[in-house]
Amino acid sequence: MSIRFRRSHEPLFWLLFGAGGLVAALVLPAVVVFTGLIAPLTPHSADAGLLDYARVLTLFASPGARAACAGFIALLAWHAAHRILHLCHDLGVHGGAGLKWSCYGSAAAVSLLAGGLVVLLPSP
Amino acid sequence: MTDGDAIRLDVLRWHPDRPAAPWWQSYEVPYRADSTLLEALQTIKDALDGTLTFRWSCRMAICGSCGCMVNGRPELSCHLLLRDLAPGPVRLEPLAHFPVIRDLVIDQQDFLEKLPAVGAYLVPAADAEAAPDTPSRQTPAQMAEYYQYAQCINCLLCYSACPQYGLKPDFLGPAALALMARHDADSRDTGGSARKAARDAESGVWDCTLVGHCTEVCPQGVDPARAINRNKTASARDYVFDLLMPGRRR
Amino acid sequence: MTRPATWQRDMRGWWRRDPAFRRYLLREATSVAIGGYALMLLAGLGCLAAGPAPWQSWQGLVMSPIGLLLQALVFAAAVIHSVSWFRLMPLTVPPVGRPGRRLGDTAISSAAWVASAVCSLALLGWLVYGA
Repeated sequence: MSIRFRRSHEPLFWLLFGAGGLVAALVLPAVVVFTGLIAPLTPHSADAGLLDYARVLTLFASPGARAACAGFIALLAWHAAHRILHLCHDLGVHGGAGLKWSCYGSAAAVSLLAGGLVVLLPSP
Repeated sequence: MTDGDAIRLDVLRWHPDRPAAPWWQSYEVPYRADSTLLEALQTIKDALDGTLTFRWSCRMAICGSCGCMVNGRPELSCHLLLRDLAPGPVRLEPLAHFPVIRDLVIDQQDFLEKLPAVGAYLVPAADAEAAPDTPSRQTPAQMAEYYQYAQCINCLLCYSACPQYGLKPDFLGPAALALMARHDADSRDTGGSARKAARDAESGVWDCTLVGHCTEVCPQGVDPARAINRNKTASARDYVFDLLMPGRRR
Repeated sequence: MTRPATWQRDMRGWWRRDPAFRRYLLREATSVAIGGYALMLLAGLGCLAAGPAPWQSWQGLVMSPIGLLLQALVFAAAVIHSVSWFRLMPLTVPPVGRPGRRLGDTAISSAAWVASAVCSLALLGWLVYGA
């Protein structure tokens, strides 16, 4: 065994990528259908409708719903960051460590922002 | 189709005495209903152009010598009938992602160095080693666990199908990693822990992005994409356990 | 040991060599749309936290013609992602069951699709009737 091997830290990012990919595969089409089709097609006025301010706040009143919302956005971000990084490499864009840190850094920033924002949501 | 038909082969050629650039050369080759592409190459070599160089041995898709790119796809030239490639022309190139020594002959050195690195041999249990004449029994179900991976003939078509190997030459690659999985999955083997260093490396399973073309081109029905990606799961599991329980025995 | 002189083609435009490579890149490119959609949801979350007026303008953007067009693209990407993810899933999960009685690829993929349908319907039910 003449080749020297060093353990990769890829599993950490791969697990986040996989979790995001799984969640996206399970429900993302349905979520996009909701925001892009069901909500716009449902009659709405200033104080009624599926995306009415008070209604959405009521939906996300519980800690569980808030955590799920932040987790969903964060996992999508980690999934996308991991694949975009590899896509850049595949297309011959060799950004080195800088590209790697900006991809995963963006995902981490999105996660922190999403986590902070759900805490800051006002009560309905 | 009648005997006496001919097909045009366009071959990408390179010669070390003419190193600047490869060139295309066309041959019009007569063929019969049962002629293979390899036989067409042999016809060229014997009757049309003795300088054309290619590897071959068994003529029946088991030695793994005659791989080349056929119309852009890695194939065994003995495994293709010319009648299926008619009317042509057929584009022949050396296997992708390997250094070319001459014409269709590629340098396999890189693979031959990687093969021992994945521990692609059976490591019997100590008691089995101590009693070499005792049979190591295995049920058909246990054999079925690895049998598909054991069909690899080292023809390297999967390396030519893998853009990640082309982009990252250090990548151990589909066949070597499938043979790693083949021995890990064998109930008689105890060498799994020694293979983990190669598995867990960047150039191990982690250079793979599951393009999946390796499995599609394998002439033996081996599934390297499955071998590698199941080992990603196993490698990730060990990574997490080692993180949570430093110093645990692997 | 000296190695023989060799020639090697570079990797420029490697995806042009086989349609399988372009299908792979399409699968990977869905991540761009998914990432963009994550940013859209994050912006919505920010507007929701900021108050009714910002939320109203985010809603306007999401329901504008360009917003709807982009979401149609995201939907296409999400469907490609789901189809490819569940098709490749059996390659990644460890073998299920005992040797000789392993769960087949079709069973794993089908179970994933059933799970997707159940989760999607439950989530849509909550989003539409939850409050």
